[in-house]
Amino acid sequence: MAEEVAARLAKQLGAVLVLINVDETGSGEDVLRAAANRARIVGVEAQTLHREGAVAESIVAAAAELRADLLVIGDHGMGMDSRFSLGGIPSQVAHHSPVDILVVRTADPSRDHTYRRALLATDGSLTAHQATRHGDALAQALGAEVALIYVGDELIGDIVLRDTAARLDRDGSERIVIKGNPAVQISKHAVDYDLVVVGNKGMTGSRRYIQRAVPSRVAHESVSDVLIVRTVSRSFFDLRPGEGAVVEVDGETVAAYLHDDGTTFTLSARCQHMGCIVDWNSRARTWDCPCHGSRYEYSGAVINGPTTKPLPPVQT
Amino acid sequence: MSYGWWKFIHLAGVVGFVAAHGTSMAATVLMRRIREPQQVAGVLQLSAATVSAFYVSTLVLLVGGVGAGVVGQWFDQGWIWLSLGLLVAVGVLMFPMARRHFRRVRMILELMETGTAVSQDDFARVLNSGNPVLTAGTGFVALLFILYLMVLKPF
Repeated sequence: MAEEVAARLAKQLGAVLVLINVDETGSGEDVLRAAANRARIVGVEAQTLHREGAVAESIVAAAAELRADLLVIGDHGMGMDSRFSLGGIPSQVAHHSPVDILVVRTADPSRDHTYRRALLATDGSLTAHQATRHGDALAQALGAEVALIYVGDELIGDIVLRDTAARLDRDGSERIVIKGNPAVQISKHAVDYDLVVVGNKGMTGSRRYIQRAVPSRVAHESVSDVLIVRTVSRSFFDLRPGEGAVVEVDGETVAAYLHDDGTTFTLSARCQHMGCIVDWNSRARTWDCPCHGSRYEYSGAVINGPTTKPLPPVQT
Repeated sequence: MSYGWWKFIHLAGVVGFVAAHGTSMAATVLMRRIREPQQVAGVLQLSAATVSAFYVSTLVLLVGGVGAGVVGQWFDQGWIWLSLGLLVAVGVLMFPMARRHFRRVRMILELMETGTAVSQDDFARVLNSGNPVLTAGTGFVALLFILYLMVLKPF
């Protein structure tokens, strides 16, 4: 199913399709040949790539090597039963993918996976703006209608969605503001849409082991296909100049920043006020504490309190 | 430890509680009058700075109060139970109200800072939302009533 969706998208978007199979049995080449033939039938010339080794790691590595724009993967092994495990291959790929990832629902074979209506989720953050822009661009290319959803405070939600609609030039689009758990509400509303678009915020760092991230839960629980847009770097090595992210280094949560001149800053991600994990503010290039509003320069120096201590450097 | 020391600990907690929480209450009310985002952020920061002191002083207040109640053998009287119940009830009631309001204000400031279009009307609506005067007023009246129970021990 994922292969079919990928072929259709490649055709509609004029993209190069690379089919990858990872196994150790030797039958992968035959599987790829058959898949390439199926793609040819729908008018797409696909390249093939066979790898041996750990499946998730190989897929992630291939996506990085090929500098792919999008990874398309089926959700097999990602159902409700396995939602608390990190062992499913789609789950592992989703958490470590260096590029956007489209999780295709495979449970219902009657679903045609034509994207006519897309639901773009936002929390008003800069990373969410990126995700909605990507989602909107894809929706435009596919001729799909767009609806926007904000889960949380109603007053803030109205403001965020009005702004998002204006940014996307989609003033007439449907806007849903609803209270509740973001993952639950997005998944619930996904029933009425063919595609749900979310950013990957929360899928990085050690917090994901304690509290399942919204995009991850949506990818597990939504009945529609889910596009997880890579808006937050996964590892220190993914950082681009001028970009910061909370990443995991040797099991430690680190606030990492790569300066334009190539200088790197690795700091403790724990706010020195009460220990909350700071967020990267890409516009101001600051580390902001979501709990009580402390702010730090990218170097860790205090901009404003309540904290009085800088973020201490971490040796990596 | 003598009753006097427990009472001292309790009153020290009360002083810290009123100082820390009073700052937050004042900040909540003050925010309604100002419209300059940077000033609002400053007031919010002032309120946030008292959070640790508030939690510590509340704990000291409770430990000292319960200790004084046990040593002074007050727990067979109704006023101490009502005071304790009222403090917990008001705390449980006000915490989500206040948290929601402060979170909302913090979010709107973040949105403005990151370039989200927020009109003056939207900003005013957020600052005036959450009935800050009602919240602060409820807390103030409850504290006064607890003070009455503590000092006059009516039953």
